[in-house]
Amino acid sequence: MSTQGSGSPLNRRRFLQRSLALGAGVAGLELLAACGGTSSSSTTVTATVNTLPPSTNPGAVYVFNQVVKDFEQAYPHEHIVGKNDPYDPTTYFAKLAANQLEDGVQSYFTEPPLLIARHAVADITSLARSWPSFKDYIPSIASIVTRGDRVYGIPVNGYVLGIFYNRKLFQGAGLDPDKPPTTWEEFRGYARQLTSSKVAGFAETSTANQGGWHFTNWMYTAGGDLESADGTKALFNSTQGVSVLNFLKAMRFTDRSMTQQQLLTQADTLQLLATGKVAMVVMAPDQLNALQAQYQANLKDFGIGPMPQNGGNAALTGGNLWVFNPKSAPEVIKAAFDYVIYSNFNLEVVERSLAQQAAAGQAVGAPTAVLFQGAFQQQLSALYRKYATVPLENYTAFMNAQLQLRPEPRNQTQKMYAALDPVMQAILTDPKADPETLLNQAAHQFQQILDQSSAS
Amino acid sequence: MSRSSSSPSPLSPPREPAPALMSGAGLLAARGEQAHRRLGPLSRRLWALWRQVQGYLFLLPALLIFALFVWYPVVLGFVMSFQSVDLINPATWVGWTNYRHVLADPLFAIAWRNTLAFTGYALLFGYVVPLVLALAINEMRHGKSYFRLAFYLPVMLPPIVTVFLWRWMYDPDAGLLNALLSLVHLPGRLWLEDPQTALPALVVVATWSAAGSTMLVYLAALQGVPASLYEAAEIDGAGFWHRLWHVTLPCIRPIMLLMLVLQIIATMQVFIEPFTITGGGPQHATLSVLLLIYTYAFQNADFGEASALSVMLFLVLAAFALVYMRMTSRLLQGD
Repeated sequence: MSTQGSGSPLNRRRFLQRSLALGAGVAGLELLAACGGTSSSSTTVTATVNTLPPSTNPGAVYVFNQVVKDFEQAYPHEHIVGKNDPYDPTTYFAKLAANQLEDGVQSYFTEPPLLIARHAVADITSLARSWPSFKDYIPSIASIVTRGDRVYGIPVNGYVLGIFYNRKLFQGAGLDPDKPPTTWEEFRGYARQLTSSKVAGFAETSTANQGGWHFTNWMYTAGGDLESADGTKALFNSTQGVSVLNFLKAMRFTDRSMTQQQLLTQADTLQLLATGKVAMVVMAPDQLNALQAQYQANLKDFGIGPMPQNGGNAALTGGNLWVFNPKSAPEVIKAAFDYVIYSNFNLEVVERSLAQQAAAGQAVGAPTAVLFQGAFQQQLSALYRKYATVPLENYTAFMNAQLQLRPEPRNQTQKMYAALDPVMQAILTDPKADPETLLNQAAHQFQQILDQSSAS
Repeated sequence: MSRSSSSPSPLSPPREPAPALMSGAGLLAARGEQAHRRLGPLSRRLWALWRQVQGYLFLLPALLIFALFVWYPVVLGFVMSFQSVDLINPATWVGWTNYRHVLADPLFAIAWRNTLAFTGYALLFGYVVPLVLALAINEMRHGKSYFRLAFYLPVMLPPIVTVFLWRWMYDPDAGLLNALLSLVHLPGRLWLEDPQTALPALVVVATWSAAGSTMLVYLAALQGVPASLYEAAEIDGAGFWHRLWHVTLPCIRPIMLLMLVLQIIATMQVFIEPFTITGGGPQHATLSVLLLIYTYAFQNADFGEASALSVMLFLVLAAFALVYMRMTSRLLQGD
């Protein structure tokens, strides 16, 4: 299951994959492109999408339906049906096999490698090329959805991991809530200062592959790599990897500035932060909505700072992208594609929905990762600022940080995270755990998975 | 049961059926019932055959549902274990490759070891607890029903509620267990964070949430011990322990054996507790075979490997199930 760049040798399987992908592309979508992108027939095409908000959130449902209505006026031959069916990696394949998958599916940045390798997403190269802004994607963002010269998805929003912190606890500990820590050393000192009998300075994730996910993020802050560029070598058993683990180990057992409770997921750490039991956690800004909606937290009490650095000057970026059902007819995929572009990147539409979301009391304007180069991104960002309901002044340090945004590793990402979870668990629960041994074991284990996947 | 029916069919209609409440087959049977008294030997044999068919007609819905939702998936699982399946592309035959991959996975041995350890611990804690509870409640003069309900309550809790409750109990920072320990000036423990204690901690949760229903089975069995045996034992001057050893336990031994096999079959399929409480951690200390199957199928989208491991688990459980079936048939004959 090779998902390497075009520089890799063409074995038989890759040749078949290529020709299949090309065949599908040439036979279906290229023909469509030849019609100039508009359906010449007068029949209406119906496409389903998976992003209808839950009925428990009537404000969001209203906004969704308004956008669909406007879209259908703009594209009279294309009809959109929303399903409330958020992407779930554990059911995607089963749904696709059972013909229950929507035509357009919003998914995550981590998913394309597996989905493309398994032919579980449609090749949308000609559609993507026909959209003028596609070439404005930052190369690292575009690379998430491209393989060689083929395109398989549309990134719609990105996040950058940062530090969520409780401003009140900062003030209580004599720290300036407008100056979040920017280096590992500072971060350690802050966590020590914030720790009391009732509060832990910091909590970190270590289960459900989120240990590996956050380890990767810390690796980027140290300037380390997890895989070689072609995705064939595991590289995380490096000095940077060891330094990350030693850093966390020191916070947990030397400073005792972390929670004793471990085996946490992001849902757990968000709860600990919201209930004032922990002062700092690693989190993406898209969680502001959950912080407000689930815990009725006053967002004014929380700040976001950039990832503390130790020579890497980078942080992990992830986000949401749209992929399309490979079993759907080309004209149906086109309808879903048109809707995705219209609802996410038509500036008038974006402005209208942001205004409606803000009026409905939702958390609008959480800082997102920059996806595009140039004027288009500036226009988008200006709209988010204009309608922001979240206290943007609390995120100044985060937004002004000049960090390199590094996407997650390409090959076998989730399996790599699964191999790293136990490493994080050991470091955070066992004072005698040895970082080097743990990383060597995990790298050896993951290397076998990489070898197996490229051999097959 | 109707007196005229000589066939061994388990289904004989009531003598005076209320037609409104009867199915078509039942109506036919009732009409035939009267007709068949005036029939010759050949027709009588046909009649007996028809009674057989009736029985199967009644079974049909259940058979269909079982076939669709149990047997067909089982067969499919066997087939898929020899295929490369991702549910998208046509499945290809790969022989024993899935089995080789599963056996080569370092997690394979860990998962089996944990599962067997879980089963062992569950027998240690979980097998004795309900028996002792049942014996204690059986001896009570007052408050029998109160205690029966109290011990049975955890069974009624949805598993996810149980999970959250115990996660809080075990929480080393703000949990109940460590708070209790500090009250009596004992050091707290990292229950779930320590590979040594994580698995036993989960066994406690599983036992707590399942012991109630096993206890009810034992209580029912204890009701069945003839009082005359106890009287005879008392006349012979046997004390409580003698009565327990020589009367009670021999009488409920068959049930105890059955529960033993059932418990082994159930605990080897442990999934909910590791999946929801520890995610298989810390450092795979609570990874169970079923959780590994789940990981293969739904995290790696590798349904062939998941099926291969499922088949292995199936064979192990089938061996225990055979023992169980032989024991139940002996029990029924013994009655």
